[in-house]
Amino acid sequence: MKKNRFAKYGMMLACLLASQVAFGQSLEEINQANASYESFGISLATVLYIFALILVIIAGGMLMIAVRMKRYLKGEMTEAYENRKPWWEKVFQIKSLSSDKDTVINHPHDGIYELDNPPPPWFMFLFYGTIVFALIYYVRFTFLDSGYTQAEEYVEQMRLAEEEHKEFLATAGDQIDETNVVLLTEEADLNKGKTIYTTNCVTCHGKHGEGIVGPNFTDKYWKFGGDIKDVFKTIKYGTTGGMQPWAQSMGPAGLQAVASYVISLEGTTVPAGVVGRPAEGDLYDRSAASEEGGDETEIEAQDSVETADTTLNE
Amino acid sequence: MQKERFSYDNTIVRNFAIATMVWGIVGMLVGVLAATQLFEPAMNLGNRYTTFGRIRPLHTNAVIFAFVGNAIFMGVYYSLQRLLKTRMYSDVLSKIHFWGWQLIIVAAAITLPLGFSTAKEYAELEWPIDIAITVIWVVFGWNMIGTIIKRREKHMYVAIWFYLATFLTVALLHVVNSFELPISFLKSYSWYAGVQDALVQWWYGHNAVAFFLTTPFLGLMYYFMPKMADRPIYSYKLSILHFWSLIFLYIWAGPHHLLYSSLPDWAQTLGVVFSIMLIAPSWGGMLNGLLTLRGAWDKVRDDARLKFMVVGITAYGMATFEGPMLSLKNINGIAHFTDWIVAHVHVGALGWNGFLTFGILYYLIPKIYNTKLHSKKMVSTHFWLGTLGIVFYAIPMYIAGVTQGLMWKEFTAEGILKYPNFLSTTLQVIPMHMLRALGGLIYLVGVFLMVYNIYKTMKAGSLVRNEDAEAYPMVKEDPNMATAGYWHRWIEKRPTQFIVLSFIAVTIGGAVEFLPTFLVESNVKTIESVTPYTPLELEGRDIYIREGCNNCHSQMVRPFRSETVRYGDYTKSGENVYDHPFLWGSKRTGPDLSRGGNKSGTVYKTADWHFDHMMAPDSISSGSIMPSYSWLIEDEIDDSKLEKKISAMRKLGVPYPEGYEDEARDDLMKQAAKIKKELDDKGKVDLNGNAVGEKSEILALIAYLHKLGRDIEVASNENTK
Repeated sequence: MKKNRFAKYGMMLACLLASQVAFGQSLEEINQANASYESFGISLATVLYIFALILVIIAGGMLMIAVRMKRYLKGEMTEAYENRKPWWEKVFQIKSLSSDKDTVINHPHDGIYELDNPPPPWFMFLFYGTIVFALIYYVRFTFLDSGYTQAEEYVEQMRLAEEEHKEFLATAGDQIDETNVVLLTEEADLNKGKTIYTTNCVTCHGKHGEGIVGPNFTDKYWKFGGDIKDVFKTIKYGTTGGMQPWAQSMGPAGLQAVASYVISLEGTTVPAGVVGRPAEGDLYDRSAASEEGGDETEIEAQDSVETADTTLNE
Repeated sequence: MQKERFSYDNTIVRNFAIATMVWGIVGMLVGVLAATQLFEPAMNLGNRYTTFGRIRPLHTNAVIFAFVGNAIFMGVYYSLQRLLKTRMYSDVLSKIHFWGWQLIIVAAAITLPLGFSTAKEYAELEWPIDIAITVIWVVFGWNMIGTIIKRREKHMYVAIWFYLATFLTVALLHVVNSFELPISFLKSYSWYAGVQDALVQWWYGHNAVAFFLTTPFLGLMYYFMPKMADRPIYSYKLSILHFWSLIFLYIWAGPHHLLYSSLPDWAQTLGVVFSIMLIAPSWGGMLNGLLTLRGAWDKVRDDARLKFMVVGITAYGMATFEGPMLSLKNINGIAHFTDWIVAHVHVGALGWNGFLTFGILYYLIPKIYNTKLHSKKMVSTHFWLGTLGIVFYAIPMYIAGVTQGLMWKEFTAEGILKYPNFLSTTLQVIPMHMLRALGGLIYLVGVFLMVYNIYKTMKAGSLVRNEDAEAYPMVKEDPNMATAGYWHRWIEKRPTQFIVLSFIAVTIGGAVEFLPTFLVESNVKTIESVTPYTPLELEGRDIYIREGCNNCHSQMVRPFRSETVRYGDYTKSGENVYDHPFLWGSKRTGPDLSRGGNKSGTVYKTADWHFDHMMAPDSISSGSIMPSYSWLIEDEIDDSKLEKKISAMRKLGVPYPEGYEDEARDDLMKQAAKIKKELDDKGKVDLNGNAVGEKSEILALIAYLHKLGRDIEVASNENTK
């Protein structure tokens, strides 16, 4: 009887420990929420936790064996040892068929008999275990400060993202923005731009840049400026005309590639049968501009940097 | 004491059995069609009545209420008479029940494709049908309770506890969730709005699963499993424990459908903890079913009916473990809105409800036709086809769910979304959708095989319409039972007390969750800038509901970085206070739309974009699986009910000024003209080359889509000023 109780407390403790892992909103969990699609990220802390749990279980098992060995050597265990039941029988305690005649309730319903067996012990552990889990969870997340509300969780998630981003910027070297972006002309870069264009831009600007809802890129007219820096900026922040900001979804290098690709479409001819959108905006003389060198004033550059900052902070 | 002679009514059982098979095939055919549309949108057959948005509710309603519903009644009418040693209380009520239920199904099959829908999942049927359901359900209860009253068997067997709980709770759920204000014969607005409507709806939705798909089938399992295996129920005490804990706990768990939504945190937490506590009570049923086979497992090898029962019960065990796991917030954050949930419910529906129904059909049809099954081999083939079907259905959908869920969340090292284009995540899972449709098809082939087998069986025998039986009249106290002496025996003899106690058990959870949400103001924080819908937007919203857009598009941005970056600010409860009904959706086959009107946001699309997209989605988003909605351009807005709609909304608490009914139509035309001009300026014409009509439905829908999230943008702009 006494041993049984020990096992019960042990199980209960294990349930409690296990329940901690399953709580939704610990810090590691938030990190894991950003887990990548190709590989599930499991944090070091979790691995250590599981490792520690396994160690405790092994240590407990060895202790039990030691105690039994001691008893056995003392000769106390012989009889019990001979009649021992396997552990699984203790946990599952499924009654044997031979006991049915003793437990049957002698009152069939339409020929169906019921047995008066107790529910298996492991089932009762599960039953009470989930109740204990639920109580702890409920108290923690409703009454104690240790559980996040989802609004707090969101703030934490954004803070972590910002921190990561800062770290990334610190290590990523020079960052491309609208003040320093240059036109790419290499085949490989343009192909990269084309890929981005095909996924994101064809919807409005057409497969060949002929323009659908958005402007035509094959003419020499640009609504928001035709210089690489202007095109970069237009794509990055979007426009009031319905163009959405792409900064978040393309990233600096992507913006540079796609802006260069879009400019490379200028002057190309679309396949026969494709009707382009009429030219909009102002004529941009690329050859004249490249001779001038396309420099911008210091003040303007300063402005854009500030805009970029606020965008990130949002 | 003299034995009394009487007969069991088998005709009603046969009728429900045939209805089960007929509607099963209809429902599953529609399911396969819907599944096919998720990789080949042309499978909407080019007309509005069979688009996914309309036939998805048809599929769910047909399978839940027609297939499973008739199966429940078949099993209940068969077992109840035999367990209580009496004929059904009234043959007339049985007939009214049968024909009434079939009429309701026919009404559903007509109205849903026509676009009459309340937009509330598994409760899409409009108010006259809701009333009919209530009436017929009461007829069923009346007939059942009448039978219990004239019983010859003092003690109610565990199966009957489950039947009673089913009757009571479904009645309660249906009536509370169907509170709606009719504005015409087939149109109504939900009584509740926004977050409150969502809470009521998922209290209903979750417990429709609990008390329509679970408890009646547990009752059926308790009768048919021991009958087929010829073994006693393993544990009477376990029956008691899991019955009461199941019905008490289930009712609380509804909010787990709304995790990370704008439902208050405290209610979400309740949803989580009660879901976790449901594991053991659910497994209690599985254990008692499987342990009943103890000593009879050899029979499973030879008897394919038992195979159906065993796999069905195992599927139940898996689904009821998975359910609580999906209710943990960290898992839910990945799984919600994805195909994972679809896989989860189909393990339950195909495995548990389907397989148990098949097993029961194979058992009772030969009994009531006094013959043997036409072919046991065919039963075995059906079993393997069914199992294969489930595997082919579930596994691809699990993969699809996890894939898409993680793709939505993934950021690159630069801190930007790796898959910013929603469509690319949909395209990624298309092959999985194909496999899923194949799985469904295999399952359906099995059902055809069963119908043939059962038809041949019926032909071979002849229906015993009135099966003779005899039993002693009910005695005051059975001496055997008196000696058993377990306290629970007391209530098993007293149907009235039993009904009262189970009613109390199922009411508490709902009351604790509803009252604060409805009465405590802080649970729904007001947002000043949120205004009621303009008349045009209101009509657009009704078109959105008619087309069932909510079946593929959510309107709930969850508070995750991956979602606010993709869509915009996360959804607050104050945004939806004028939404009768709420339209949060439960699945994102397409992107979320709740920020579609946020002009400076990432998902805003111009009027002409929407026009082109509705005309031919694939031309704008290459590979899109959304079908064309070109009729929206040709059809005119039916604004004949506009005044009534405005009045109804005011009655529900939407602050339209008094007398606004008279100005509404003018306002509608003015706003429509504005959008029309935008389209005309871009040279948009319909399929026949005509300019957009001044009352074209597309104008209303665009107006509505541009309203979504616009008020929130105004609010955030004011904050930054």
